[in-house]
Amino acid sequence: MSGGLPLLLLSLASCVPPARPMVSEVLYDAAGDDEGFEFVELHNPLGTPAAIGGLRLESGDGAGPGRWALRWTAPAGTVIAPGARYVVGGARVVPAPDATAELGLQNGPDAVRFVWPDGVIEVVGYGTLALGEYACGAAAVDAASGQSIARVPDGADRGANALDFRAATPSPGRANQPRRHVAWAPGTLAIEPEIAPPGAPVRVSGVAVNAGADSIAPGALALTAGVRVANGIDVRGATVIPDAIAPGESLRVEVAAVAPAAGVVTWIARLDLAGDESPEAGRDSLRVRVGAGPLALTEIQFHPARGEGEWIEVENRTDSTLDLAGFVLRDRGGTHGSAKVPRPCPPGALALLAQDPAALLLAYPRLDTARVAAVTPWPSLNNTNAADGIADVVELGDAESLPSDRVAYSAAGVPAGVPVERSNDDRWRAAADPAGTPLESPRVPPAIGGAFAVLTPRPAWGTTSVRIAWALPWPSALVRIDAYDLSGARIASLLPETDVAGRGESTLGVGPLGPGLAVLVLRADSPARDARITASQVVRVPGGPR
Amino acid sequence: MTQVRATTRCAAVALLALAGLGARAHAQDFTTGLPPALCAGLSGGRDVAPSVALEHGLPGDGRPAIEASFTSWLGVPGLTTRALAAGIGFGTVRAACGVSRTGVEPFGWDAAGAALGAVGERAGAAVRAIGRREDDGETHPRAVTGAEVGAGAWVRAGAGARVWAEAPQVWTRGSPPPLPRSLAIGVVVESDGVAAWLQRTSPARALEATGQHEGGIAVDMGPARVWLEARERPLRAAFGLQAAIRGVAVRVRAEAHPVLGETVTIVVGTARGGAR
Repeated sequence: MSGGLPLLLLSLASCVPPARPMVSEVLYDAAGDDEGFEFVELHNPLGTPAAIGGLRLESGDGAGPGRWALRWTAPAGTVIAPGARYVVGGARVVPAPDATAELGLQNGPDAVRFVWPDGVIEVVGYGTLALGEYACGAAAVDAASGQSIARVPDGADRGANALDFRAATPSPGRANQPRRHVAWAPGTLAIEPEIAPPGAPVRVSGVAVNAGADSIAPGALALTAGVRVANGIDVRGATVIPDAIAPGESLRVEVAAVAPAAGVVTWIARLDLAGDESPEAGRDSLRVRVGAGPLALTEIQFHPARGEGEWIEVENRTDSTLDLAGFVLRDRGGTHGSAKVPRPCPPGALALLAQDPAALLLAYPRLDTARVAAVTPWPSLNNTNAADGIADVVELGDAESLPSDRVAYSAAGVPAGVPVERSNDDRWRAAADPAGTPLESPRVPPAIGGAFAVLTPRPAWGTTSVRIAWALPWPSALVRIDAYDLSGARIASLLPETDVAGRGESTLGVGPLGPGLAVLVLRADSPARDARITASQVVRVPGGPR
Repeated sequence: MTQVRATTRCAAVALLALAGLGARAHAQDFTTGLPPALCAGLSGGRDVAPSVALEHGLPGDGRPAIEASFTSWLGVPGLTTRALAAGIGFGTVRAACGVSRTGVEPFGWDAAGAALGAVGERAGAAVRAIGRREDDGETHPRAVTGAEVGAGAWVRAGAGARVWAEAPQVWTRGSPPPLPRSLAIGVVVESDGVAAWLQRTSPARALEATGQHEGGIAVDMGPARVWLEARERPLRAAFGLQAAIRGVAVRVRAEAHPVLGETVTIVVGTARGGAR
């Protein structure tokens, strides 16, 4: 009696019979057809061989009391080596089990148990069980189809099935939690920029998870990024991770690499850890396009002012005709749409993706209707910048979901109703023509004498705006335009400090100045703010209609 | 001999003005090259140029005078005004007339003006009228004309003090004036050859919330007078010099601007023999 109570207390705190092999893993609900895939794994944690002759494996039906069915009995003389595992399972378990038996396990809430010849029982229950005989303490989770319940860590014995077992990827015959193992977190592998020119620097990154029982020391983990080629992997970048990763913890890792030649490539990112017991989980891949895609974005109207709806101009950069219906248009919010009707775009030609083709053709009646495609649903584009200085991101993807082109545009300084377009120097800026140039090449700003010119210095009666143009010696500048009268008094600010391209045009509203002579002063600061240009022009603001 | 010299001086100034203006007698608005206090007439109203009546509606001093002026505005290339003005008085009546040309590509305009006023011991007033014809532009196949009428007056307010008011554009019609001008009121105080003044101009445009202030100080220095001016919005300063030598009066005024270039006015005219 004096030793009975402590033993009783010990047994209440443990689900594993002492000094015996323990249930390590149970796959009761294989993906699809269960037959032949189910297995139960035993693990001998002892330092000595364990004889299991006569050990009975029974499956339990949690629907009612006492519903246990014998599934397998260990033959006499069966021994599990120290530290080894013993798998009892169907004929289709890979690798082949140590003992083949069709287990017919229930899919939960149910249980399995081992009954030793001396009557000691170890039971593992899963799912929400009503009867206590089918679990030790709280039952383990009911794993999803295709997953097993595994004891993690492998020797865990915390007094309840729920604490000892978790859902896991089946690993018959192998440790549930290897001592050393690193894996990619699914779906975290990424490359930046998504569309890089050939030979350009890129960054391959992802989240590495220490799925082993041991810590990963600083410098123990290496990351290699390469592209798949005909005869293997062309390594494009490699690095050693300087950080430690504790067991169960994750770490974002990245490596600088160089984009290969143009085309569709598969990047392979590999995590190398010495002694990794499952190195295949440290390998992930990403299919991307290098270089310009077949369809390029050339002009974006994100804030139409004439009721024509939003539209996007694209250019076929290939030598063959492309069907616009094969492309997807996406914005930063994730909304994506596509043309539902085939629209061929000849090689080198421009085409329009439109929110409302009918309204667009009303505003631009001379457009070639054969090159205007309606996109539904339309990813409505933002008109104002977010905190990061970007109004929205427009992305074109091909039929394989590979990005063909991607533009993050800013609405700052873009006059209302004026689209942004890609100019000949590949910069995106407000269109020189305020109406935009749908299905036309970008309009080149007129050549002007000096840094600043008023293109309409004497607007017609009743006109309240003037066209101005500037040509500055920098690729971009911060400009402001103020108006002064003949006495030198400052009348108004016509353009507050605005970031503009080095060459451009704009329309200024001069109505608030009132009729009379005004001197417009343009002040432009260089991008580095270390140089300034000041230029003035005269404008005769007319009165009202006569 | 004195009359011959006076006639010679008038002819010289007229020729100078015509040479500056070219073969055709253009017309334009009138700049005086004087600060408002001197336009209102210090020292008993002497030496008030005929252009003052045409530009501000403040009566001249009645002596026969002719003057030619040139103004370069705000350092803007081509934005210049050339004017020729003449004035005379009969008793208390004052009269003045003039023509000017302001030219800047692709447009400019001609102006012609006339003023009529009266001056007494303690007060004076005048009325001005300006007609303007703008050049043809590419978008304006027909010339555009405009006119404006205004008035001004000054009152002696005790020893050495004078108050004035001017409303140069009480009435306008047709093409709007190049510079809208509103009511201005000022006061000048003079003592021992030193004068100080302050003027306030009310807002001239709908979007102006407040008016403008300017002030200055002038000092008599024998045959010459110099002055300094300051104006706000933006803050800017001007320097002026007026002198008379052998019957020829010269005025130079230069105003600096924090953003634009200088406005420089040069006026050459007849002067009362040996006096300012």
